[in-house]
Amino acid sequence: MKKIFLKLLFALGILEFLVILPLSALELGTIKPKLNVDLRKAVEILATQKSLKEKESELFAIFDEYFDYALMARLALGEAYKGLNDEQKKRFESAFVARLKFSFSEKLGLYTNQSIEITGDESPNPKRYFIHAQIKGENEVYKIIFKFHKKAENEYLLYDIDIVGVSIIQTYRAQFEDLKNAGFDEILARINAKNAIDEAGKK
Amino acid sequence: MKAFMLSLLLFLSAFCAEVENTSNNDFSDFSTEFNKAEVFDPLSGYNRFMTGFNNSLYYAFFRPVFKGYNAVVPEPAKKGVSNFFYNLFFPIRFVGNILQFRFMDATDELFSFAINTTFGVAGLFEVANTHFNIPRHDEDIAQAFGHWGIGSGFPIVLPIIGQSNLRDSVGLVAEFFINPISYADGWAGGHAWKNSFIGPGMGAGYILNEGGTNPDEYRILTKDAIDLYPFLRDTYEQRRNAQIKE
Repeated sequence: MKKIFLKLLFALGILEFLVILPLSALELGTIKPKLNVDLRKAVEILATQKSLKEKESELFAIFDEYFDYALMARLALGEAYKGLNDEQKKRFESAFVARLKFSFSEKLGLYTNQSIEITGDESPNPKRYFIHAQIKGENEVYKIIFKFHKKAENEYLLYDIDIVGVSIIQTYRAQFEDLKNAGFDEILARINAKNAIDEAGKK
Repeated sequence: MKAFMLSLLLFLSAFCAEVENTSNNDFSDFSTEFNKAEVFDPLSGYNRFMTGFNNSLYYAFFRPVFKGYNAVVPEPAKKGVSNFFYNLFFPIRFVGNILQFRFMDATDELFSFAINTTFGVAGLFEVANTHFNIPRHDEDIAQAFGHWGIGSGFPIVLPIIGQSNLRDSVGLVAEFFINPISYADGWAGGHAWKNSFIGPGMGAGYILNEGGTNPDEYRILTKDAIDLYPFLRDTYEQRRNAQIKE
């Protein structure tokens, strides 16, 4: 019985890995207050004197559960994703998620003493939930929209962030669309090259 | 045991199929949200070349100059110069708001200009927003064109200035005739060569101060680009569309 249980756990573990499920799902009613608390935590972490690497690890520990990384990768690659085999999909997702994390980390270094606050929320349709926030600079206000989608019944995950009107996913999508004639290997090589530069810069 | 494993496999297969179906449905759900990223770009060859040229020019010339300026000029001086030019460009924002029928916003801009020019010592100090809480309404002429429903047209990368499009390039020409700098020594009147280079000098000073305030802004913005030209083209279009909608 114990063996069966272990095999079941193992199989479910593989399944979880395959679909990249988050550790816990976000319920609609809890997203806004939770994000509010987590953004405050993030600002506190950023204000500490810790190294960027330490800050990153603490921030990803908080925010990893928000992201539907697999969906973000698919949306970024667009129609071309459907033509990939499983192994290519896995390689692309892995490289793209690393790219997103590197990108996110670098932006953290730019944080000075701005304040961030949630200004509202909306459900443009039953499958979407947007949270509006703003970062206040000296004279300017930068608007941010955290975009969640309904992954399952009352389970929401983040699939895009819109910063001053610029969607992160759309920006990658435009680049990959332009590179589609160069082929999947070229796209992957470019992402990996960027990741390698960032990885080397961390050491 | 075999029966159990078989049923488990069937369960997992069914679950995987369900997950896959859900994923495909999710994917199609997003097709309206994320437009097919094909862009009408008849100048793409030239645009790519000019993006590369501007990029090289930034790293070879502008960035070292901006960094030098940033190192030498104290922060309050840079802020003062930036405030001065922002105040000087009031006519562009004023006309931009009027053309969009935003008369209250245009009035805010008018009051801000009057306050910053007087209490702010010719605009060197920004007091209208920080002390009088008058909001800024940073509208330009091309935004007004967009507000009227004029589409962006095809992308154009301008030398030094960078990413733009047909509508915004026409807007820049219109702004040249509203910009006070153009009249500093008769450039807008067609007598530039008979006079001095005060206008172009001021324009260069503006670029130097803006670039010198954030010398690495462009580098940071473009660092994540997998393919520089479509990255800049798409980011620019998205940002401009958002500005027009605001």
